[in-house]
Amino acid sequence: MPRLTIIGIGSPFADDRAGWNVVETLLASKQVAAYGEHVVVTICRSPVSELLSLLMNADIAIVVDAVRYCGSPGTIYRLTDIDSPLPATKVLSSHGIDLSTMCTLAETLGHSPEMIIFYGIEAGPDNAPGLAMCQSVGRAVDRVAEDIRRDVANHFQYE
Amino acid sequence: MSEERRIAINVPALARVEGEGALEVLIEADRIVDLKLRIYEPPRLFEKLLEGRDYAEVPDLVARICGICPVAYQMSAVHALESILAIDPGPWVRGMRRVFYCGEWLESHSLHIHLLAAPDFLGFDSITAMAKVHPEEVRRGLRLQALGNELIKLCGARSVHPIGARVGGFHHAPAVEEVSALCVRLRAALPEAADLVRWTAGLDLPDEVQGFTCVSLRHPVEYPMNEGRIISDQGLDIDIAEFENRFKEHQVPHSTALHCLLDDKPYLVGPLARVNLNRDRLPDAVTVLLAETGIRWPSANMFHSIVARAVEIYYALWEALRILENYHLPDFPGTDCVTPTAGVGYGCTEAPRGLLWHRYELNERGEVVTARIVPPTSQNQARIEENLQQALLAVGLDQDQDKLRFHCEQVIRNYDPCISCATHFLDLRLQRR
Repeated sequence: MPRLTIIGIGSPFADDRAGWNVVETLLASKQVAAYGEHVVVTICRSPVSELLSLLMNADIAIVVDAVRYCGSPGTIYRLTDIDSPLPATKVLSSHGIDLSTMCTLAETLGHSPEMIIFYGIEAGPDNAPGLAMCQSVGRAVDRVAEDIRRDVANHFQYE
Repeated sequence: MSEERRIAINVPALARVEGEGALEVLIEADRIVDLKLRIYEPPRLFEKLLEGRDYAEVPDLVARICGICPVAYQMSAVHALESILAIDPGPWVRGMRRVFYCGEWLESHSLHIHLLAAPDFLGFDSITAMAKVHPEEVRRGLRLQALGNELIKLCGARSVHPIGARVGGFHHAPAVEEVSALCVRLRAALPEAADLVRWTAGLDLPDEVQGFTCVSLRHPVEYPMNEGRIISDQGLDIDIAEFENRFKEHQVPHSTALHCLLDDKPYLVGPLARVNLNRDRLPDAVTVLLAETGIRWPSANMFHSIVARAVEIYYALWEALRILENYHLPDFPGTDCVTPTAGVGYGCTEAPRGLLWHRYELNERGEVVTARIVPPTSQNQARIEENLQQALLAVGLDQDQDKLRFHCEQVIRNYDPCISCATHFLDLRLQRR
């Protein structure tokens, strides 16, 4: 049975914590825990040094991160077609090495997951240290965790 | 007659962006009249944030300063604090701290060589483009980086912002079985690391010899990581407590990072400075490989930094093996016998990018009264600007803007500045008159 890896990218700060909160919600889920070693749920603290190896070791990857795109805070984006480039997020990345780069690099090196599902949660404008996550992003975290539980159930239903 | 060219890319800031940089160059006729490396990363005020905190909180707080080199910040902090609290953590802790540092050098240097610097020298604009032509070299780099992450995790419980270090030692000692398994992987990686040294030495690196002062730690017998005196190739040889007497930080209007000068002059810290000043402290296996590079050490070509990083990767594997192949479980991974004491202490260690100097003042409750942190990137900033001046003249100011911009980016990335200056998003504002 292929390994499904759920990766929450983020930092401790305000809305940028969205990916971590989704992962923490899923780690507390008995439904997800029931799949045992077939589902790995992990936070990613550094896309530069951690993300690539997580992607290269996953058969299916579900990635969650806070994004800045064009919606109001808490807007959820779900992308599944990795043949199309992910929206450019380089301006918000470290070292200029972003999620899109890492997905492309994993694919170039022949270790890309069979499928990558990306959830983006639109962050609010202010993510200064010490600020709390805004309510709309907090609600989006719950919705994305529920959507991922459904993704996982659907995936193993057809295995 | 005047000509003005301008390229503008806006780089906004968010949590995971660890720094932003831009370069402004003004050329009039055949001379550079202004050159500024702008670092406009928002001030993070860590030194102020540390005030009032208990000494025991400091290692985890300073680890947050950098996602790539948190070990360095933890190590400089614990050494400074232990000097105030009169703690000698003993040989087991001392050895494992070197292992911890080996992990960080492996991780940071591998990342820089493969993902940031090598595409420049091989004619690619990105790591993804390079990986299509050189996939095995990239895989090798990723394997070495992963091994570094494993070493950091071994000592620090996790590879990013590790939490295992504390004043007095570590919170946890790794199991013997875990260490043994890692030793097998470290030993297996030695040939790959040796190949990496040869590969970097074989790159078509620009031949630009410049005059500059190298500064690093110097230990009586070891290649420097956690301890030593501060030396230079110009005769400097001081205790770390004397740092402030000779090294002066100052604010420049165009940078939120302070510039640091040694006796009012720019200087270099980092892997090239370390290798130049401490190659006689490398073990035989590394020395032999160093000779094989064909480079005449000490090198005055800043672009040999990539080779120096590869050499330090090879050294880090040997050093980690030297310590871990003799590993034993300690009675305690660190001392808990700490009596809060008032005083001033200093810590200076060799971060992947160079000298990282800390100074703390504690009160009688063991709380931080003042803190001062001088990171390597601020020490290298003036040297980078000096290097850029010389490099632009060497390339020729009449070259087209794209070539000049690329060369400037290459020069800056070569220092592995921490960190967004090392991206491919340098905003060059070139003006010609």
